[in-house]
Amino acid sequence: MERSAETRVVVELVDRPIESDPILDALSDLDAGAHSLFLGKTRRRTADKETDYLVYDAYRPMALTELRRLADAAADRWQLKRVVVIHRLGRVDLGEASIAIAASGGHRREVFEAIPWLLDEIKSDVPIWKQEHWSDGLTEWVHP
Amino acid sequence: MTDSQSTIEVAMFAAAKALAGSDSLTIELSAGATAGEVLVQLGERCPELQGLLPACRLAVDLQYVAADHLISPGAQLALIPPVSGG
Repeated sequence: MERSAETRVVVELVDRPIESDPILDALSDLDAGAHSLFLGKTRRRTADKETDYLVYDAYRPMALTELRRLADAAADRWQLKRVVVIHRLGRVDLGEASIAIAASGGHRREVFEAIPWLLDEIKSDVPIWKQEHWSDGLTEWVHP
Repeated sequence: MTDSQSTIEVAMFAAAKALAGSDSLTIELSAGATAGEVLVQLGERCPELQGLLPACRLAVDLQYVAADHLISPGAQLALIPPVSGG
């Protein structure tokens, strides 16, 4: 399926906090009735362990290539108007976002389906790694 | 090293980088070597990686490749442990 020339796809790796307002602005399209933003944030508790903060590392050029491939694929499959994927690298404190996935499209169903699909694909294929810094001082690279 | 061999660097990330103690490892590349052979060589070059290697993929020029993929001398190689972004 050919993606519409009107679709705008933005993918970024950033070393600063992710801000929601510019992402929501980037979704704006008068032909898009459905706008949605997902934020994945650093959680305090995992089972009985407590997180101090996370550190993300990436193989940057490949991660950008993969993010672009997936965002384009989602735009094609669900005929989205705009797709924004931003992943933060480096230290991400409690309550801060490590990832933002946002999309706008004609109707809610397409947007609601595209965002979890993108997150699942990112978690399985994009070369980005999370390091837990636990409150007991231990650190651990997460390799599911 | 013979004429049919060259060296090639493999970029390391996350736990692989920690186990290797370096952000890249240099291995010898035989003519006609495959991605699978590169993974075997990495285990021989750095035994600390052995436990993690079965779960890793090799990327060549920013793309995942299968074990039978032929490696060219100028290729950009990276060892990709299981990813955990998001």
